[in-house]
Amino acid sequence: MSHRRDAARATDRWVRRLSGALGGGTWSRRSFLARTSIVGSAVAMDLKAFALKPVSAYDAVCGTMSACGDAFTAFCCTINHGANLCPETTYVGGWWKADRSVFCHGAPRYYVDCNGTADAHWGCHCSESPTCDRRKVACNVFRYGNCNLQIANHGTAVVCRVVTCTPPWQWDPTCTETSFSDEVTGTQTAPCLPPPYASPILVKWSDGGGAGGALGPPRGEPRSLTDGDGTWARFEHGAVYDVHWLGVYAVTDPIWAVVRPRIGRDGIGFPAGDATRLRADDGWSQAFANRSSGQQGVDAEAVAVRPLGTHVVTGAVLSKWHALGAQAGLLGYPTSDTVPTADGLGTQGEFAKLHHGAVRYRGAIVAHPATGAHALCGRIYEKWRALGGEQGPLGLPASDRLGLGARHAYRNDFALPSGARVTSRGAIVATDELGTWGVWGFIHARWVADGAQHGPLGCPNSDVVATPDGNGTYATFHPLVAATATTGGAIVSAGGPGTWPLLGSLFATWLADQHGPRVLGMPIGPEVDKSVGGLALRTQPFSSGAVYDSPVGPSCVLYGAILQQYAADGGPTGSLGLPTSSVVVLPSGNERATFQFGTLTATPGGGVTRT
Amino acid sequence: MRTFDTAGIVVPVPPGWEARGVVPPAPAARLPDGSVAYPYVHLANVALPPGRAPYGGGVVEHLGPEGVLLALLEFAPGSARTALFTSHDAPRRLRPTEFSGAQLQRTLRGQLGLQRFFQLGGRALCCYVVMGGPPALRHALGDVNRVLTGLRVHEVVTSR
Repeated sequence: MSHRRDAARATDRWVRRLSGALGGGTWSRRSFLARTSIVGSAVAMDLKAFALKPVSAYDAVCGTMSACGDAFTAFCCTINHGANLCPETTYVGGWWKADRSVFCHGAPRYYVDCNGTADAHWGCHCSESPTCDRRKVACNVFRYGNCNLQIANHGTAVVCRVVTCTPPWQWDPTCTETSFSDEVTGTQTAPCLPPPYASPILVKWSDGGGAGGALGPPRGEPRSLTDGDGTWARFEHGAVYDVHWLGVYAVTDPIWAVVRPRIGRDGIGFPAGDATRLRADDGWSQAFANRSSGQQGVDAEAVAVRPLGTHVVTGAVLSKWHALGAQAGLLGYPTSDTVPTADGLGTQGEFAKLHHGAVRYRGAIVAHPATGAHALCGRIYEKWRALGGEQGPLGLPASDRLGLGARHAYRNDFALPSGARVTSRGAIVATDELGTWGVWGFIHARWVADGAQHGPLGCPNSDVVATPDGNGTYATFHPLVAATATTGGAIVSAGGPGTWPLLGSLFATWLADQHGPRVLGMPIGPEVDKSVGGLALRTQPFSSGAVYDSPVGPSCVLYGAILQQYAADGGPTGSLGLPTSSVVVLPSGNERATFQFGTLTATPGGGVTRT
Repeated sequence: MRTFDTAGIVVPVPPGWEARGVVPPAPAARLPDGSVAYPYVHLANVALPPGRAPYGGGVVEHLGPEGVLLALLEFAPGSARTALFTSHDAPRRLRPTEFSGAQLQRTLRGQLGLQRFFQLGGRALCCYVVMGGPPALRHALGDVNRVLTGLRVHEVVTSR
């Protein structure tokens, strides 16, 4: 308690010092009179009594009708340890205003009644403050009726009055804009309130509760900002900035604790508004602007969310975040500051969507001159991170999340930048049926050329991995609808032009060979489909063999001397007709394959005979 | 008794009483500070000076023991849907025991007061009565109740 009283006394001293914005230096009766130099304020402050009678400064700064018998209610800061706030066990019962107030630089001064709660026992009494504010406490059972309308009138007294230059409906969202004016109270004040024509910083601090508010007691003197931007003052839990081109705004903890070293022209700029409460009451957000950046509007936004901490979003990442709905949108709240990309040319920031205070999914925005500003989230974000993020083979996001026309099926495109150019592209596709997989490089290019998810391959159901024989890479695919023998499969790449799709059973045949004899090698051309003698034939060439797939010979693998002889004989349209078996190795060491109209047998070191 | 109409708030005026209404220059329009003013009516058995505050500031200081001020104040129409204004009629017949020296905006010695929030015709209203002293309660409560019994309001005239 004594600590709070000390704070209140310190507040009174500082109120006087800050009122030195009127002039500065030691505060005395005469200097105060000279500094105010405003007839209106002289009347308001009962300065005749102040100047002529042997009374303390405290007596003069209570204004008119400050005795208990005058039947007005005491100011809250008088009875609430210096806090210009409704005390505990009270609620905001209503407000009125006095227009053209010298206490608010000619704007209205607002008076907010703090009524006792139904279960509180304040008891009517005169203020016991050592100051001149001896007005009544909790004596008049009365409601102005324009705040907290959800509270029925249960007949409790007005405990004390808060005064602000901030409109009550902005000061407390329970207040309505229904206006009542009472000029009689316009000349009433207290030592714990700013004097007439106080500095905007002092008024701001007082409107926020003074020493008992979010800013806390003052720390040090008001100071000028460099480059003539304005003035600022430090408080225990924050600061107030009066910037000529922005206005007067406070920065308080927890945002203050993080942004403090970054406020200024060389950082995120200056506050461009007060902190606003986030949806669901889970934190605060505050905008900052920097004229030196040459940009209009907001340049940075600090967001403080209880489970995630305080982070600053800036520049292109901020613009993108807002375009996506900011905290209410796809990405939710920031979980990192905006930081440079690895090459220093772009920026990126991480985000998290909350659900009942827990992280539902994570995401990111990456902005780069080569790719633009794009967002990714959820499974796609996690896959991108698992594949190395911006340092991985996918590089940076090159699109926002794209719907694939199926439920919970999404795709993000990526690109590897080199300076401001793109050298390679990729994609991550997430579906409920297939999972979340990434493809990139030549395989991605072939997939896109073949129609991507709309083509016969469908969507990836593996990342890009090395072939079993180590001679290339491949990724597997599956259609979102039911697969057939000619859909789904893989794209196999030996690099560059040696990248071909293997559809359906052709892929199954190649993969079995890769895990077995490895006689086929890598694909060297596309699948060729034709009709031979009324039979559908699918063939695909490989570096050391070929696959023939027909109703008379499913997935026949030919290679070596037998394949050479078959080709010399005219292949499927030659005299042998279609293969009806793969090449098999006989116990004798000979190799043999059967065809519709004959058999080819190859002898090791010898020729090929037809029977 | 003559009747007095201010912005659709219609009251009978007892003989010897004065009635004054205050209607904002642009009812329900925003004032420069963004707030919105609504009409109010003052009735008193004393002269009503200019510059009165809505809840009687400027009048109650001058009420003698027999003096009475009755204020009817309107609020934003949306207020009528709230708990504070749940009473669906005006207080028509006030009893002496309902008044007290505490139910006052300004607890001046000897005065007695009463405040009731209610809705009537879809409009949110407050009835605030200040009796200058016990003599007023004895002699003027009948007139107050005649005013309240005759109180009528027209449909909401404001758009807000």
